[in-house]
Amino acid sequence: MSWISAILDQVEHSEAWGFRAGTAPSAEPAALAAMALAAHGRADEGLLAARWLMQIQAQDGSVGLNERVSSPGWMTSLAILAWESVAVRLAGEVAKSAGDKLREASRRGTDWLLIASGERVEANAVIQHDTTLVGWSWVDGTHSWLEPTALAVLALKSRGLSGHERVREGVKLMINRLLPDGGCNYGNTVVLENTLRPHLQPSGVVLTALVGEENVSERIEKTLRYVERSVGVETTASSLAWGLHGLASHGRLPNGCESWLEASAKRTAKRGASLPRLTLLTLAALGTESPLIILPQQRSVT
Amino acid sequence: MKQPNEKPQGANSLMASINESGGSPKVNRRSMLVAATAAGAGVFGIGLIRNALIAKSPVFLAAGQKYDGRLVETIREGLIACGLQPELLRGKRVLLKPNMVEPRREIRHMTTHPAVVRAVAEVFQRWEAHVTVGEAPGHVRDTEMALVESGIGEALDDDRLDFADLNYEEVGWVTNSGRRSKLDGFHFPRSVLEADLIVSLPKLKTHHWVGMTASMKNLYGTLPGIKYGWPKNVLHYAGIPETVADINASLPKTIAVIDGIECMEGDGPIMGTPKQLGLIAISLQPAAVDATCARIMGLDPSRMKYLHLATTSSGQISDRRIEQRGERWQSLATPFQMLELPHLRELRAG
Repeated sequence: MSWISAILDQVEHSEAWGFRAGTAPSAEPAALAAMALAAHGRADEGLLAARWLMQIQAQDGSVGLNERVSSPGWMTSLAILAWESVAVRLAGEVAKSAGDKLREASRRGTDWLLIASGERVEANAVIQHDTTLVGWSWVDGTHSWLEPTALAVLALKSRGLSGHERVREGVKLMINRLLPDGGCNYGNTVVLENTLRPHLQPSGVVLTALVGEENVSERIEKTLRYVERSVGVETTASSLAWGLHGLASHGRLPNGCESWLEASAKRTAKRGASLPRLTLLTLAALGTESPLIILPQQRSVT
Repeated sequence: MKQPNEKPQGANSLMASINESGGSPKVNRRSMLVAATAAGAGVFGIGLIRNALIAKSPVFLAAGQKYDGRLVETIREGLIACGLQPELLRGKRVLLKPNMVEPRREIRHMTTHPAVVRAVAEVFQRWEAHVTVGEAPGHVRDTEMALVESGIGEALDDDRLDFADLNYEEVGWVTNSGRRSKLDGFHFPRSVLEADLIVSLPKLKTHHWVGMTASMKNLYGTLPGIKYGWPKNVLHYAGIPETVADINASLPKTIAVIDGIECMEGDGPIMGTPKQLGLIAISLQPAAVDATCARIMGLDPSRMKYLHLATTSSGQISDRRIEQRGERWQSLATPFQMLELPHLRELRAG
C-alpha cells in the first residue's frame, strides 16, 4: 500500500529516527523503524537502525534514550524486539555476520532486563492493586507500571523466555492491574476507593503482551471488549496502532481496520510528521505478522 | 540550548540578561517583569530589610468569567495589573503550559479549557511575543489523543499555534535551585529551557494528596515522560510538596493564569466533580496566586506544605503579603468539597 511505502521510505534514514522530524535519533523511534522495515521486507534497511541501537547500548546491556542520555533504560525492551525481528529476517551472508551481532546485543539487553525491576510498595488501603508484585518501572528506583512491564514481557517472550519467573510475575501483574470493567490505564486501578478510567493505548499494549496466556481472568475479555468499543476511524495514531495490536493478538481484528490505519496516517502526517506514530501504524497493518506480536510458536529459543 | 547531561548552570543562568534594543538598560527577566511594581513602590536601592517589609505579591482576580466571554480583555488587564510590562515581551519566547493530564472530552473540568489557552495566546501574540503551547501529559503516552480529547488540539489548529510535545523533546540538565527534595536537578525539555517566560495555565482543582493543584503543581507537566515516566513516579518518590517547590524554583521565570471558571472538587485531580466558580486568577508569582485560590477554596495555604516550601522562591503566601487587585478573594470564597481524609482535613481553614 502506498501510504505504508511512503512511511517506510522516510524511516530508512537516521534523520527520521527522532520523535519528530529534524530532531536527534532516539531509541524508541529507531527500534520501531527497524521492526517496521524488517517486517515489511526491508531487512537490510532495518539493519541500519538496529546497528545504531547497538552503538548506543551501554556496557551493562541497557539502551538509554539516545546517544547522550543513557538512562532510564525502558527502551531496552524495544531494542531487543528490534534486534530479534531484524536478525530473523536477514538473508544471505549478512544473515550470519550481522545476525550474530544482533543476537549478542539482544542477549546482553536481556541480561539487563532480567536484573531491572520495579520497586515493591507495602500493601496499603489507599491503592488497591497488588503493590508487592514486581514488574518493570519506567525509571530505576520507582514502582512497576504497565507499559514498561508489558514491553519487557514482550521482549523476553521474543527471546523464548515465556516461562521465566520474571515473565510469569509480569503477566500476573498486568492481569492484576486490569480494571474491574475492563481496560487499563498507566497502571493504577482503584485509588481512595475510586475506580479509575481506562485508556486505549496501555490497554492495547497489555493485551499484546498477554498473547498466548490462558484467559485466566474475565478482565481480559472485558478489556478486549473495551478496546473493540474504543477503536475506530477517528482514533489517534498510537492508540489505534496499539489497540489493533491488542485485538490482533487475540484474533479479534475488526473488519475494515485497514482503512482506519490509512486515515490515521493521513491525519498524523497532516498534523506534522511524528514518525514513531506513523511507524506504529505500519506495524499494525501487518496484523499478527507484526514483530510486536509474539505468538507462542514464533518465540525464538535462546 | 544546553546539551543533554551537560552539567549544571541552573535555570537562572538560562534566564540570562535580556539586552533590550535601543540602548535601554540591560535587564533580566525578573526585573523586567516586576519593574513596574517595584519602581512604583520605590524599592530599588533600599535595603533588603526594608524591601522585605514593603514588597507584596500582586494577585489579580476576575469573577463572573465565562469561556465564551471577554477572556482576552480580562487576562490582558490582569497581567498588566500585576505589573507585567507588555513592551518588554516583544520578540520573546513565551511557553504556555496548560493542564492536559489525561483528557476526556466529556470531563472538561479536568483539564484547562481551550478558550483560556486561546485567550492567553492572543494576549501575548498581540504583545508580539513568540507563543508556543507545550505540555507533557502525565498519565498518557499518546499526546495526540490528549490534544484531541482536551479540545486544545483543535484550538491550536484553528489559531495556527505551535505545540511542543514536552514528553518527547530533547532534554537538558538544570541544577535543582530549590533543594527541598533529594533530587540534584531536573531534565527539562528544549522548549522549556529556551523559553524566556513560562505561563502556567492550570485548571483549579482539589488534589487528593496535597489538597489542591493550581499553577505550581501544573508545572510537573514541564518534565518529560521519557525521563520521568508515566506517571512521573520519580517525583512522587522524592516527595510531591518538595518537588513542586523545587521544579518551580528551577524553571525559567514563570507566571500564572488560572482557569477557575469550571473547577474540580472532591476526588481531584482526576476523579472529582465539576464546581462552577467563574474565576480567572493571575499573578507573576505562582505561590501567591495559588495561596489566594486556596483561600477561596476554604483551605489554609500556610498548612499546605508545597506552598510553605516555595514561599521564598515563588512568591508570598501570607494574606498580608499579597496585594489584591481586581476582586477581593473574600467575596469569592466558596469551600470546595474534599475527600474526608485526615491529611486533607488538616488543610481546612479555620
